[in-house]
Amino acid sequence: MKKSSFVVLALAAATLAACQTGGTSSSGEGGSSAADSSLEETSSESAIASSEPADSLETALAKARKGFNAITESSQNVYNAATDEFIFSNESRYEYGFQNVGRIKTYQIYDYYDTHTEMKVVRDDSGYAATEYVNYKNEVATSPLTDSEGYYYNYDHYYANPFLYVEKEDLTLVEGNVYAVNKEKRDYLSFLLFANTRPLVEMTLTLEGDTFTSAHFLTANIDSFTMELPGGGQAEEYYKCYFNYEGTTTFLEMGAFTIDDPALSPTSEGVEELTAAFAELGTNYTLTQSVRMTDGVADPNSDAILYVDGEKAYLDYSRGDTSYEQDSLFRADDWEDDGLLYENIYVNGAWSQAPADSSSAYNVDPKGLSYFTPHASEISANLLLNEGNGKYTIGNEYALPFIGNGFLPDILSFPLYDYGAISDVQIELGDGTIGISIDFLYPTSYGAYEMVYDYVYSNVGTTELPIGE
Amino acid sequence: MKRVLLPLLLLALPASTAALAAAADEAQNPLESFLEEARTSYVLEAREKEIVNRHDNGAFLFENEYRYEMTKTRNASLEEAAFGETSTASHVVRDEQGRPAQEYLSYDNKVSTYALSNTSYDIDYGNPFVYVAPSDFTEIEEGVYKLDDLKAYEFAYRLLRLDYPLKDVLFNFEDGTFKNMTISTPAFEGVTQDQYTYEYMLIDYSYETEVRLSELGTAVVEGVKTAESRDPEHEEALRAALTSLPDNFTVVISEHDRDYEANHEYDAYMYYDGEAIFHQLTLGSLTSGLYYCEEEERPDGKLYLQDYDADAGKWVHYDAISSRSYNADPKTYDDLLPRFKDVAPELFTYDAENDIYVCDNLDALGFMGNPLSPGTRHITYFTEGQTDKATIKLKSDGRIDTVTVGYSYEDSLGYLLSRDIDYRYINLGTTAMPDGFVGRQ
Repeated sequence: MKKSSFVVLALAAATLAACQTGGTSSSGEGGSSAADSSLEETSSESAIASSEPADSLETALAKARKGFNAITESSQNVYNAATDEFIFSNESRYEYGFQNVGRIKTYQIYDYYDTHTEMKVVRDDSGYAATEYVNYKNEVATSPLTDSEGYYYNYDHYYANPFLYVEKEDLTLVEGNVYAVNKEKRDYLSFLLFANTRPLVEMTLTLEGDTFTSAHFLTANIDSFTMELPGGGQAEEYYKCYFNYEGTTTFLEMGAFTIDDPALSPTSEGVEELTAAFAELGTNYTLTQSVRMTDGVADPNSDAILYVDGEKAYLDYSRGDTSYEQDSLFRADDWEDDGLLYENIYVNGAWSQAPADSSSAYNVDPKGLSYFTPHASEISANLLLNEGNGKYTIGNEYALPFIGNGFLPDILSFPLYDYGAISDVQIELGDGTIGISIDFLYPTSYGAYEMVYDYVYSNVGTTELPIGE
Repeated sequence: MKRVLLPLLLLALPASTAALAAAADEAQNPLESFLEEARTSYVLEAREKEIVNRHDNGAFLFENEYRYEMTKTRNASLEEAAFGETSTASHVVRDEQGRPAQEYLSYDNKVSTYALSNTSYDIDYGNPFVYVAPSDFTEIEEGVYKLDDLKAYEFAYRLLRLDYPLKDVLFNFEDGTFKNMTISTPAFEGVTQDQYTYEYMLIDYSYETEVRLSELGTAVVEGVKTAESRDPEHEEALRAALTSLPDNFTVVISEHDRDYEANHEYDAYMYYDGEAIFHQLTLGSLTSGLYYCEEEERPDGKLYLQDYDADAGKWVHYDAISSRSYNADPKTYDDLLPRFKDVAPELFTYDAENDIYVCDNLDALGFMGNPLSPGTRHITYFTEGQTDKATIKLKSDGRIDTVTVGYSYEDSLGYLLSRDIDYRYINLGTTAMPDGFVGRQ
């Protein structure tokens, strides 16, 4: 990815989701030379002319471009480099689905021995690969996939329907109803169809009537070493081998394949008391935030109390310490009548406007009171589930993983909630309070660990900032 | 997706359809013939402008310009991208197995390739025009064809490695002839630092790129050329030395930082007595090091690596317990000994002042390291084409004296360091294994 020479940082919220691509493992790769393959097909690249097949091809392509399901059974075949004797094979299975009518979506399922990965992506308005979910308003929404550095993946390059790239001219009849695919394109097509990244020596499509029913591929040979022996068992030493990948794809539901949208919740029941409490959350409330590990160990550095009095807001990270270190006071600018609240910090005994001295500083893009108003009043009642005894949770599995920021004002929104890693939400109505606990998986380079954020709304309508100015 | 009206009767006619256009598709012709040529090869020049405006009032702030020069053929890609004074260039070819590779001149003066990965050349370097067809375009005004949104990203990425959401990719034709392409983006939000106040502010930025093509269908990428004779007299002298190394010699191996004297206490000796190779790593040791010999149990003419078993008091076959073990892929004598007899003297120039032959052929130098070293001492830097020094010094009687090969690398602080390895050939024809050495019987 090209880097700019000046500092330009996108403001889009960073979101993270597991971006799994089906990879294949092999028994120790090495070497840069490979044995000749005797399976090179010799077809030319110009289309063979005849009237019937051309019509059927056009129809088959048109159907495929609308969507289909493809199941690819692939095997990595390993041979003795000295004798060409077959040694062993590893099997993988890929199930890819493409929907190109309405929303453009792909799903990929990969199975290799004990490994099973699944992912589903939709093409969002910017062309990025995104996860679909149900947002707090009970609407289908998308969140772009991203890696740990905030890079967004383009949908078209990684997940496009491969038939969008196939023209009639790319198919040459080999025999019967089997067509060879244009040599120059087939490698990329096989990447889209079943994650293959190796050079191919063969790729064919089979046409039955006016529908493609199957495909076959074979990669070039790659040198390696192995200790495996034919029939099982291990040799005393590694010895030279080579391997290739061969597979067959079966096409199903050509032209008629759809991938379900996440389900919305149609009705609500027994949640009026909670929604009434949420509706009270406007521009005057107190919100405490605390963090702990699931075993109870707390992380006081993330504890905070937000006071909003209808005009200003005070974010207390120092928990009452009057040095006000790390605290922020949000209030209107004395000179500008722009309806915005500016961040002030406590310096030399007084609150003064903070400089916009970093790309993520609040004052780079100051906001109005709506930024300090909880979204909770907008949560769709249909998503809430009454568990009894004053306890509630989220009843929609597509909404739960992303719901966190729906309970909060934007000033306290937590980027990790947009990763879709929330595993549980517990809401409790108390006497004048609303308690919300959010369980989620915090990703680190060592793996994810479970954390809980506890929020409590209190003093709704009666909050006063506990600081003088 | 709106398609251009095409009552083309491709059915009963050959693929080259230039003559087939019905009245309504005169518009389609320029794209078809253009694509046919561009899919073969092209030379490209492009300017990409990054336009930055203030977000609050839309005022222009500044602009960056990136320049591209590329040549693409079926089997090779030359890519150069520049910003200001800095530029990056790459030259990648498609090897016989369809992988991306580096072309170079081998030690025996043959054009060769070194695979950069086991992945497909076409997936990363395939011609962008191969992946679009006339039916992917809509003529939005006369001579202006817009590429479908679903094809735009992949096309622009293959063409110029552009990696951002796009607005329009337009192919512009004038009187049926290709003029240029323009690629535009929507506006993106960002932040930049004010150069005067150092405060950060919101910006809107976008990209506008213009692409010009030439040599459509005729462009070629110059490949590596074999070396020609430049100095027959000295080349003959070098050839005589390279082809007269007997099947019996000792090599004294000294490794040192370039331009510094080696510490000869750390020299290693390699003995080749015509049958076996003993590469002693610690001076004086007779039971450690690399010992290669043929084995009765494996009569295939290959040399197997032995390990000294102290308990048994003898050398035994060193089991290849790792895929990187030597015995997993044992070598012949030719592979384990330096390949002198096939080294092309044309790759060297004679430095009279220092009476030494220097490899000055930049297409060959990178891969000279391993062929000039004994096969027991191939190193990764040399395998990957990082040799940056190769010299041969002859004895006064015209035989090989010292071969030096070297490489450079960046240390952890970013300094460039260079290491050289001297191979000094002695006891030519009179080498015997060191006193007391007991090999395998």
